[in-house]
Amino acid sequence: MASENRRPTAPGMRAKKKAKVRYFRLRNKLKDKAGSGVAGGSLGFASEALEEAMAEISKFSEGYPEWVSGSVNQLVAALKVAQSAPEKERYRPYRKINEIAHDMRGQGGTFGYPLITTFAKSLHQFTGRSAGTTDDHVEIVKAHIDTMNVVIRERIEGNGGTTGAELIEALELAIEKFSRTN
Amino acid sequence: MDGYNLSLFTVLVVDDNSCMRNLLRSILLRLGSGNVVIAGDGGEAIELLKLMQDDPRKAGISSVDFIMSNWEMSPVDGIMLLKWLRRHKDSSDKFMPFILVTGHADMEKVREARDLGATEVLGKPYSIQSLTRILGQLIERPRQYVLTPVYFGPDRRRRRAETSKGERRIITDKEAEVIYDDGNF
Repeated sequence: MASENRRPTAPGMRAKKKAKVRYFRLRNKLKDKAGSGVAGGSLGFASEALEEAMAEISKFSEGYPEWVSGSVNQLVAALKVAQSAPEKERYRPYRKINEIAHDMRGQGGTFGYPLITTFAKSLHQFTGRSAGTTDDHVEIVKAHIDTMNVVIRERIEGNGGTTGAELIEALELAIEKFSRTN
Repeated sequence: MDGYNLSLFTVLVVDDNSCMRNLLRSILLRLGSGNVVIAGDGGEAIELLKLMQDDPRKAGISSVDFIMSNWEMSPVDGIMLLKWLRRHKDSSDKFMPFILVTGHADMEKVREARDLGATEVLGKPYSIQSLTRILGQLIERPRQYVLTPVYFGPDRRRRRAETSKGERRIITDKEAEVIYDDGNF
């Protein structure tokens, strides 16, 4: 901290010898550079710039199913490891699945695939630190990955309408079925 | 009115997912940022910031206006980068605005990020609306920085409403030392 640069100012704001708290009030350089904008806050961006930025997301969204397929393939591979491993050794593949699910949870909604975010969020929870490792629990993990695979393969955007509702229901039923014995 | 002019901004985007990194870079450029540099993880970002200090020509940049970094990255994550930026003696700018981008939506994680000195937290999945809202906050509502024996970073007083009654002690300017930016921090 460059305390040698401190500059006491108005009366009542003079430096205290034993102050335990220091406030640094900086010049707003970002505002100096950016100017006043349209109306402050998020509206400070010109509508043309916002439209161009949204168009950029749409452009990336077109390629999303293709590149996220790589993540789904990684999920499938980690699932296979979990399926063939003894119960006590499933934490490692679970951890991998958990990390991928976390990533996918944060991506789907941005690219117009909120169902991926929904299912990935649930998968992330089902593979967390206190997750079960029984065969039935692995079936729950598998049901998530299968469902996400369908969303990507069938390009189910938005809430997916009837199909989306059916997928959510089917996953809930699978979770219920395999949770009974856990 | 033309909206913000970000043409003089240099933004550092840090993410180990190349698609997400490129998306954020493209969005920032479309919003008018003059320069967006990228790093593949916290370690790369630190190296770039150190090089920028030592040899701006070689680094290709002489300053960074703010950082947008993903939280979960390997090997050096966004939290480690943030800690380095705020606390390390080699830090290029301990006051640099830092937006932590994360899929951790729960308040506990957001609080953890703030307690480590994040300026803003952008939740994923993000939209242009949520992203520009955060950028607007950064530009319009900068917070003073606070140094206490246990914390250094942007003032966390936005949390005032969340704390339970009577626990928070508001320190007045008379009790604290107030330091104003003379451009030479």
